[in-house]
Amino acid sequence: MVAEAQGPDSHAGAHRASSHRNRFSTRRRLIAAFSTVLAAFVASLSLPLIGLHRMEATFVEMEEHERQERLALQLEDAVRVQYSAEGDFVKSDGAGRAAYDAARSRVEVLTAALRARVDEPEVVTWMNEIAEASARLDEAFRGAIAPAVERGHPSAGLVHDQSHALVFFIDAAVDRLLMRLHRATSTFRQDLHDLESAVWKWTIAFLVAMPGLVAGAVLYLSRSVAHPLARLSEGASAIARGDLEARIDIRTPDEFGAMAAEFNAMTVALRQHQQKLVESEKLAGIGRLAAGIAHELNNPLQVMLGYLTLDRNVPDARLAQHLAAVESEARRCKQIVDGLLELARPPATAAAIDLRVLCEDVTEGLLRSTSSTARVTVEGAASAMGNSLKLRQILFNLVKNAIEAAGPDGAVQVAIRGSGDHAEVAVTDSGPGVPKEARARLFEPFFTTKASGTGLGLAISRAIALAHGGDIRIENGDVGGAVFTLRLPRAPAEVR
Amino acid sequence: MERPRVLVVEDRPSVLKLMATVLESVYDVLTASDGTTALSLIGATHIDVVLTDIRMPGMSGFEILRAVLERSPRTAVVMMTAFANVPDAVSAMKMGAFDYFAKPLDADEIALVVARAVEHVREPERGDGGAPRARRTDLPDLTVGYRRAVDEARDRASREYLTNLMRLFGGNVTRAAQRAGITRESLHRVLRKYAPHAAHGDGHAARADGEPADDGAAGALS
Repeated sequence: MVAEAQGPDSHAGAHRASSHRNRFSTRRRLIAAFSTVLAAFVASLSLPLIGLHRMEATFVEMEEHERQERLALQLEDAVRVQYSAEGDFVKSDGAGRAAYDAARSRVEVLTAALRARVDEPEVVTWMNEIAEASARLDEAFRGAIAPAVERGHPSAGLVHDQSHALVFFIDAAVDRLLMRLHRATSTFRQDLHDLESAVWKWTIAFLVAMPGLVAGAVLYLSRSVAHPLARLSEGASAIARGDLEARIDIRTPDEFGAMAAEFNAMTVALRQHQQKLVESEKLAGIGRLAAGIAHELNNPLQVMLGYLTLDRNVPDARLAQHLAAVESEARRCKQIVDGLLELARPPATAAAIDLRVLCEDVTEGLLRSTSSTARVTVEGAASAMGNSLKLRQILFNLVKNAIEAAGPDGAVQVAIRGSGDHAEVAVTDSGPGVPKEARARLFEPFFTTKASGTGLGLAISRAIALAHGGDIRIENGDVGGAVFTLRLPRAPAEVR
Repeated sequence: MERPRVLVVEDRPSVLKLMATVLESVYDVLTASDGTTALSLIGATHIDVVLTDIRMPGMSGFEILRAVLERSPRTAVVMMTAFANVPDAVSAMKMGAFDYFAKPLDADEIALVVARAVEHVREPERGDGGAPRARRTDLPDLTVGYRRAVDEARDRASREYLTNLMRLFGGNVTRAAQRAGITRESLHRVLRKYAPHAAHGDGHAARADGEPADDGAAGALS
């Protein structure tokens, strides 16, 4: 309990420091989760778009290839038309020259058009060969066939037959070109097919993965944000129900961890505060009851003590002895009554008290009056707010108990220190210490471990300390004895 | 010299009887168990000292104090109570009571309180007796706790009184004790108590502690 009382401060402090470092980690987490989902969306949209773009490019290529194919077929056809026009010209002995010219110019136009469209070096070579062959064909017509036909020379038919080889050559070249185009088209088709299936695959993959991804992001957010929030709210409602033992177990190094730590520190502080309140309430109740009883006892005690002291000098020795015993017990009753009234007494006026001076004074007086041989040391210094006589009373009790516990050869150490807004006096003795089971009850009225004594000293001391806004706690010290620590509000001049 | 007359007002017969027993050897003791009887006695005859309880059914000790101060200015009033507290003590002294004590007291302590009160009203030429009704201003420091403050003040006054008595009778203890209404042993005890070397601070705290400090102090002295 005592260790816990000191623990939360440092604990919360450490968390506060780390919370500065991780102040925005939840924000970062939210941003990360949302950007992951967003990136996935963008990727799932852009991949099919890229696919579509590539498909379109392939279509354009295919269209071009079809145009070239058409042109190639037309050229092949035109070359045949030119050759048959040439044949007609030869057979009809010069008629149909115009038809040949038309066919020839069509061949030239088509050759030029096709040549302009191709760009692969091999195909360009083929086109050049075709153009050359076509030019030689025309040359044969103009240089040999046409003059021969004009002169009626029979060699025209021969040349015509010979130039058929050129037509074959052109046909073969165009066929090669067509074959190549066909191959390219089928490659494109395959590409298109691959693209299509890839787009499908990706789309399906995204369709399947996206819900998973979104679910993951939601799960992650709920785990890292909603879950801790729920636990915080659970803790808060536990407190609201009055369960001050509630702890929130979040150890993440983020705001939630820090919040949980603050929350736990708060519940500990609240619990201590409540305990203190309950104790002081209990004490006040005991005080009120005690005062009532004490007052009622004073009249009978007056009668008893009055007669006893009046008849002190009775001649009968035996009777005198008995009366002395009764008187001694009656005086003890009086002390108990006085003690009980002390419990009920309201706090007296406060001023800044030099604890060092007070402790030295009390220690000196006690050593003199008890003629104890214990070694008592006072160290440290601080000033506290309080009533000089009430504080003297507490210190007297604590030091007196310590001297008694330490025994004749023992040591008692009175350590004074101020820290923050409170001053502490720790009275340590080298005695046997206080058993754990006795500690909880030590401050209860009438609880005593001593053979003599009313059991009110510590209860009164505690009541005074509480009335001063302080407290007394007990621990077992390093040397085995008990450490009673009186905690008091520090004098304002010393509080920085 | 006629015997001084003391009136004891107290609602508990046992306490009343004790007071009468303690005081009757030296004083004429009248008793009243309530305020009305007390006031009729005060009106009927001269009384030197009124010893009155504070809390009583009917009339309270404060009312008796007020009435005595009005009707019989040459009477000293000593208040006693089982419910001692600081405000009561302060107001009793401020109103003009001669003394205030908290029960229980030893027989000789009671006798001494009354003896001092008698001296106060009988021999006004000594001390501040010229103005017997003067409000007390030398109040003990009541912040230290009523019992300690009042006991201490009373003990010191008793010691001073007895010292004077001894001087008056030229050191004759028997006559001094007789005059004060206490035994010789009690006289010696009181004189020894609060002797200058008695440990002041320890006495305080020990008493407040509820531990038997008196025994220790008395043991060391006797």
